[in-house]
Amino acid sequence: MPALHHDVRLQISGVALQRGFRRLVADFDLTCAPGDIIALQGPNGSGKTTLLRAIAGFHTLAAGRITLSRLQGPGIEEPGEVLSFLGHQDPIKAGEKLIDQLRFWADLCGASRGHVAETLAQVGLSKQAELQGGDLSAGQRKRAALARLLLEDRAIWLLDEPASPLDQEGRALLGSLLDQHAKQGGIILAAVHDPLPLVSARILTLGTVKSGVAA
Amino acid sequence: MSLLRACLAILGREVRLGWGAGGGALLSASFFAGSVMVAPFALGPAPDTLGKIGPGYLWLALTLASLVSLERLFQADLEDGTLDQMLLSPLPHSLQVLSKILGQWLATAVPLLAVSPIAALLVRVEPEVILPLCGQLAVGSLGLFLIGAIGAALGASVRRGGLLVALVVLPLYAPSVIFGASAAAALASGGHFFSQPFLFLCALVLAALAFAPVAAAAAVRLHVD
Repeated sequence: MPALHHDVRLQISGVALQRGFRRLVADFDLTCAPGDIIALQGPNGSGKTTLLRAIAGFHTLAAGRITLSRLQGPGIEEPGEVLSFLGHQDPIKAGEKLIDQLRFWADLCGASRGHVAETLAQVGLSKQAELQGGDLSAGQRKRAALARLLLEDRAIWLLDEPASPLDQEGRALLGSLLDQHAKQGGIILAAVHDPLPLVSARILTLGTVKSGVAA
Repeated sequence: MSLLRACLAILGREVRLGWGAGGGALLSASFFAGSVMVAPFALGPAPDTLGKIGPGYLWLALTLASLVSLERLFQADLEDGTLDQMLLSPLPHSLQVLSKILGQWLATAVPLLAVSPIAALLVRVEPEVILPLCGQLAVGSLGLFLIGAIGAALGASVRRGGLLVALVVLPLYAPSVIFGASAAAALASGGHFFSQPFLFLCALVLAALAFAPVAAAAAVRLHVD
């Protein structure tokens, strides 16, 4: 079996998350190995987004720890080295051409600029490359965000409602990208309401904690 | 090398966005030009009064004009999630903030400085003093942008936060304005370019160059949660 492209493990142990005084998640444990696809489900306000943001390092944990480790090779100092985050906002600027925006992200994460056109073709946005960000539809913006994910080429993908604005074809594309990423040894954590297209995912349900004022 | 590439990408993007549709890079310059243009109407066109106030008035106009562009410095990035992505990038956050401020300065302050010689003429600054005075304004504007970024970062998540930003920033501006205006007064009364107040101003700008990006980066980080 050929060596996998990614070999990062994610371990979450005893994590508690809080927003203000409201406890969203308590004693949460999860271990992800290369190739895992996990669908986080739960009602609105159950802490799906907060959990993803906590893994990305944006949200401070109320308790517990999140460990990222490589099976071989150097240690991981910053979460940004191994993970990409796709939030429900799309970081697309209205007043800049799509291709320039992707070139910017390529520069920022150290990817080759040569891959930008190819990646745009992969998500079906070749014709829109010269459009201003403000002229893109919600689905096209999401596709552009997926293109950024591909450019960054990180092991762990944290996706917040990735399928919501996409059309049928876009969902199929998302499914095939997820499948490909998992086959390369990537880990995917997605907060979803509908099942993820094309791939079979482990389902985790949040919102079982009794929400209320934390001790 | 990739560090430099990432810094230049942020700087270049800031300039591109500033000059692109809806970027508002010319807002500060037009505010500056406008406020100088009404000075002779408000203060009277008499050369002896206006000439005396002129250099200090330019500093006043520069200070207020630099506030105009501050509100959106980090807010837009916070709202559309760009800031999240920047935090994940391997580039140290304070360097990102520094590149961003320098980009904003290039996009916003350069047009302002380009109109400043004409503005100086309008407030009856002596012709031979105009260029050195504008040089001092250029140095001072960099300092004001750097210091202002701290306030902009603190107020990033407040809607219509311009007032808050101004309240935070104006006291921090005071030393730069005091030294800048004294340097301008020294120039106008025949002193030379590197007068003592101007050297103090340079020291302030250098200190801001070192500390403001770190402080602004820490303040921005507070809003991402």
